Amino acid sequence: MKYKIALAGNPNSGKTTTFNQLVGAREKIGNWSGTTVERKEGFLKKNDTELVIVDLPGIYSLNAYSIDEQITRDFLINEKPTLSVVIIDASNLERNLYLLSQLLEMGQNAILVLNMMDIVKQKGLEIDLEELSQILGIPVIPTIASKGEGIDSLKDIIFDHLDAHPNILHIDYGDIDESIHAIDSIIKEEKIDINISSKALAIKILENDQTFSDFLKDSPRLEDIKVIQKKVQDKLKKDTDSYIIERRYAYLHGLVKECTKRQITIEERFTLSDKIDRIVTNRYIGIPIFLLFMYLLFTLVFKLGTPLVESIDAFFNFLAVKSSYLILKIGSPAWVASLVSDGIISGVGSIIVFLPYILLLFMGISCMEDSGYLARGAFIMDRMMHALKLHGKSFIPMLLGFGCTIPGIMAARTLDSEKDRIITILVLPLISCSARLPVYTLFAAALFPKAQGLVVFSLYLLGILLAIIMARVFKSILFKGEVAPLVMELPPYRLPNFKNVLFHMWIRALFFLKKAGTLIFAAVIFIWILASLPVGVEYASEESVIGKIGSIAAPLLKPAGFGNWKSAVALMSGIIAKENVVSTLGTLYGVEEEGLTSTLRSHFTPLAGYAFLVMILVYIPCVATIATIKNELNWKWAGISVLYTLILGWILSVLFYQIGSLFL
Amino acid sequence: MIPLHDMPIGKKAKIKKIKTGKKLEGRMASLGLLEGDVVKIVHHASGPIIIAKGDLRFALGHGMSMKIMVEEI
Repeated sequence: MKYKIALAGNPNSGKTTTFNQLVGAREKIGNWSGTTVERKEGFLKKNDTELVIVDLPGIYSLNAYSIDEQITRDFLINEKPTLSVVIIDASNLERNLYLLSQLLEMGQNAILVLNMMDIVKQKGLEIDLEELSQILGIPVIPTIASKGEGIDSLKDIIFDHLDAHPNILHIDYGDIDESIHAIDSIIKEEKIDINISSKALAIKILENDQTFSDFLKDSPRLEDIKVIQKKVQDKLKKDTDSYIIERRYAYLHGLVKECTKRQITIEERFTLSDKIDRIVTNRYIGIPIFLLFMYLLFTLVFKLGTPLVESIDAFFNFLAVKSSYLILKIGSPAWVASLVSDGIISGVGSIIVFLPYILLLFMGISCMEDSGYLARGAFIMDRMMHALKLHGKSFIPMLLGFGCTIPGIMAARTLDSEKDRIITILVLPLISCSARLPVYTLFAAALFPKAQGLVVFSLYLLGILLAIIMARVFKSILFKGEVAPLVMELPPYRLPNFKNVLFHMWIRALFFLKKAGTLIFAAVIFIWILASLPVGVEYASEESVIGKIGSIAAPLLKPAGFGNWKSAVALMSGIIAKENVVSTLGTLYGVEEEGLTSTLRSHFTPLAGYAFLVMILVYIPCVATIATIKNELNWKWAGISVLYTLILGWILSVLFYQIGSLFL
Repeated sequence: MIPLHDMPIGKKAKIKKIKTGKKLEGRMASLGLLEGDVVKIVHHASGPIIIAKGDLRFALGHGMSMKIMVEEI
């Protein structure tokens, strides 16, 4: 038998750690359909019973305030999990039990995991587990997920409770109990087919919740319901939903009081976390401290990563040259040697080369996330980034983008709002990554020997400006409305869990290799085919397919000042990786990289050269970036990213060349 | 009644009225912040503030903290 199990809980309740402990590396990453929110599934097996464990997004309630909550609701209604495992931070029972109370009210089969029992002990609290289990009518399992304690018994209890049917939780709604009952009876008479209890549906309808009200929209009793809603509204002096929330908290307050043996009055003590916060969010030194952490992250990823990346690159180059030599030596045709070295080996190489960056990035990010500092970073940068119509957390991806766009895009997963994530990812390719630098420096040295630094700097600056402008444009076209105001929980500082960090790095790297890897490899082979056909032509020459496409594209590039097939082919090769532009130009002009400077001088005017660099900065992201955008978002956004950068790059380089020509 | 934002650090206040609109009020409630709750001001950064309710800490943007009306206790 196969069962679907849901894993639910508040953010920072240790849900992900518990998930990892439960399923180990047996997990599958994808997206929730129709969204770009990540969906993780894990697998567990015992005898003939197979479990698919779905890690739901971390949420606080089952209302519809965020896309995460909407996803969870849709999941419960449409996919009907056999059992919901609710994980809560036991050191904050009352607020954490809110979600469980909603689930139990809906008549879901659930079990409760009281995580972070070590902190409960530290705080001097004592929870009566049996009492809690008795009142709620479901099993209660204490765990310390970070240490793996209680996980085995959790597994056993999950397998034992697959067919349990706990009672629907009864909360006293005081003044409106009667009205809830009245709507409940109507729902029962109407025989609405839905996976939640009629009482929970009645409450949702009373709250005027759109999704749930739709279940009764064709009912002949709709008028009766409206009369009841009106009556309740008149009776209460406030919003119906506020009243319901209050009653639910009142119930939980009583429940927690009853189940906590020794309750210390929780004075708002000035904790160590508060002391750290006073320093790291200080209005004067907060930003410098944040920048220091950013510098450390950047150094970790790129200073440590780049030598590794270069060695991997050198290794694959060596492999390509050697294999090509060997293949020719045994008498195989030249195209076979080229397929192996230019196609397959360089294809695999261009995937593996990103691994050091990705591993190091996720080491840094998970340390920052797990320690609780990332939430503070968002808080500190909120004001400044808000002015740029971006979220405070967008700063980290943007910064990483100067090193390499891929880790930048991946770091955007720390943004909670889908809209902010999409905007950040769309503008990220405009930030000059390190692969574009060799092209900038080559042209600057050849065409602007006296102002090399200035030229390179101006391109970086242009990229930043474009990113800021495009973020505003996307915000106003795609997502009207204000940036969500900042309201968030600040988790207490904790030491990152080493095992968790390693696990996170491993899963991300694997995901990249499996998903993005295939795409990147396919693109490299595709370009190789274009450059090698028809059979017998010299690689990437004017007679090859790619050369012919270049000749067709050349007139389009003419208004930008570089309307020749060689520039067009170089740009196309840059889609594989931006630094390829340099080597392709070398091949096409038949010179070594050292001789390229003088060759460029005779083929490009300074104006055309700068226009070409503007194009390099903006046009189409590299395939690895496109594949990563597809991975993190979907094909639609990857396509939009390719299209807009191509159009924007063309417009800007044409504008630059044409306006420049007027003056020069 | 004064906006939460105008409370000094270290002071306790009772939330009297949340004037952020239904959706944000609901979001605050699900985080555990309701009308009638007593909170303490932990820290003023430039703009946003940090408040405490029991062991929980929350960050509120400038706009939010101006729309939460409190009374000092």
